[in-house]
Amino acid sequence: MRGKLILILGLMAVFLSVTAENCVLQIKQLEVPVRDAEDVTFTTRGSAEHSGSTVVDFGPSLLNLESDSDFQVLLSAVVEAAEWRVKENRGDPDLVISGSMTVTRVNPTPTSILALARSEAGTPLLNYTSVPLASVLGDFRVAPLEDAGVSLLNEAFQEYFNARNAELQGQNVPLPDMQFRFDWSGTASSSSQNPTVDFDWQAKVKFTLTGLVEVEVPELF
Amino acid sequence: MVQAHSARAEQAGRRTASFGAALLVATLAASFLTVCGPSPALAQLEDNLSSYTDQTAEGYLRPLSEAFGQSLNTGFFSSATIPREGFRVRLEVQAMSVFFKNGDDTFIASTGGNFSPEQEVKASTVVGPGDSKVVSGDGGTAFVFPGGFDLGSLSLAVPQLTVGSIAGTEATLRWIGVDTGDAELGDIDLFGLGVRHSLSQYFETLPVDLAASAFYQSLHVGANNLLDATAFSFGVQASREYGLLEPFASLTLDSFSMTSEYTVNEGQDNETRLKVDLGNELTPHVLAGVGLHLSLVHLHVAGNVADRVGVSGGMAIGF
Repeated sequence: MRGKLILILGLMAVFLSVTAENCVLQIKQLEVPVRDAEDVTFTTRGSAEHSGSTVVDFGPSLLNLESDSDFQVLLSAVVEAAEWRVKENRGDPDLVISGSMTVTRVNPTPTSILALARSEAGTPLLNYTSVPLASVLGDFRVAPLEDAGVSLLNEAFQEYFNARNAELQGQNVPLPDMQFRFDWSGTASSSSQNPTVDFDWQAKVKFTLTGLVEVEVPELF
Repeated sequence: MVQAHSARAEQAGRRTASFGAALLVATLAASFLTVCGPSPALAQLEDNLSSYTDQTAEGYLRPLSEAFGQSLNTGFFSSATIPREGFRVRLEVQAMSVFFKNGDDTFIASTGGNFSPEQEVKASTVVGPGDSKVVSGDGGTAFVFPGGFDLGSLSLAVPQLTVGSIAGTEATLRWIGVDTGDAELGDIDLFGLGVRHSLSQYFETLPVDLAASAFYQSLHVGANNLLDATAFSFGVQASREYGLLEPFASLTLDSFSMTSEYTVNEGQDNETRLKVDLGNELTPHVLAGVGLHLSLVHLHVAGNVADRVGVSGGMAIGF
């Protein structure tokens, strides 16, 4: 009797070993955001009035982020926030700064069903007026954003999203050029008649891709 | 002579049965460990957590933490009977499930980082629905909260070994060490140690057997301290045998604390490690069940209530 019981339980154990993963592991779908950022840094030395320009390509970062994420489906691509700071100040500590940054699409997508982003040069992205430099020195903080600049970036991200989804559906659609030129200009003043102006100004655009991910989780009930 | 031969045969038969039974428990434990072992869900959990750049992650993790605590503090015993003296050993596999409540699905989450304006919104917890939550910010920006794993219950299975008895006291050891071989997933380590002491031995006549218990467990899940937990449980148990059946019940006071460490702003110049402390929960825990003793094989099922409702079951080989 005991031997039969052990045999039955043994067979149950073997059955469980073979089938347990199928019985207990459940596939779950969840929507997951992944984040990255591109930053631009400008340095001004000796001039109360300053400006700079740099080109940033969001394309490689977007593709890397997507490939690291195991997305089954891409659901959205969007600007999450912009931040700015004075990274390092080598000039007068009581400088007061004002300035702005514009964004321009370097190579707008040629007319096609995917083209969304406008091509106006110098779309305002952020501006700041009479800010004590000491108050923005160090950590990144919320950038005072302009709707037009965010909209331009978001439309380009939407182009990327549309192109990637078209690819997934088997269409031969080239990815949009995601290069943007950021132009920065500003002024600095202090209590000194001849202020020493020497600082690094930095801005960062954070973006989010959201996708559908499938994972197996153990769930008995 | 005949009697001696029969005794030896019976002894040999017992040894064979014991060996077979031990193999059986090992197979069961292995199968459960396969089921409840590491999965890509661990890596996904860390990705989801990275959306939370401050202690808001505590709300996201809380249902999982509490369910872990309740599960771990279950299944240490299925009887209050502990002999005063004599060798006794049981190899067991215990499976515990805790059911999530309706309120476990969502929590009030805060937008993190430098998203502006800062907002609070009802978002999925780690066990909530898989849908993300999107809130709009300045200039057309958007913040996305991750979905949850859409879990109805949390289930764990652990092997354990109980050895006794000295002065009516026995010790129980739990241990799982799973090396995933994957630096991202990390390992899973559970160590638990507890003692139980018979209270019945101090009373002449009691309608039931009584025992007191104290258990300690530590759990490490994932690479780089993704989840680290410590559990304590103190309590009393009662049981009474009716032939093959033995109903049992217990009342314990459970303690469970958990921390979670993960990376936020990965790859950026402000990349940091964030440690979320889920505090120390003290929870009364009531359990009732019934055991079935079939010679060397012991089965039991039980229901329990603490923060949530749970069920457990187990199989033990031994005497």
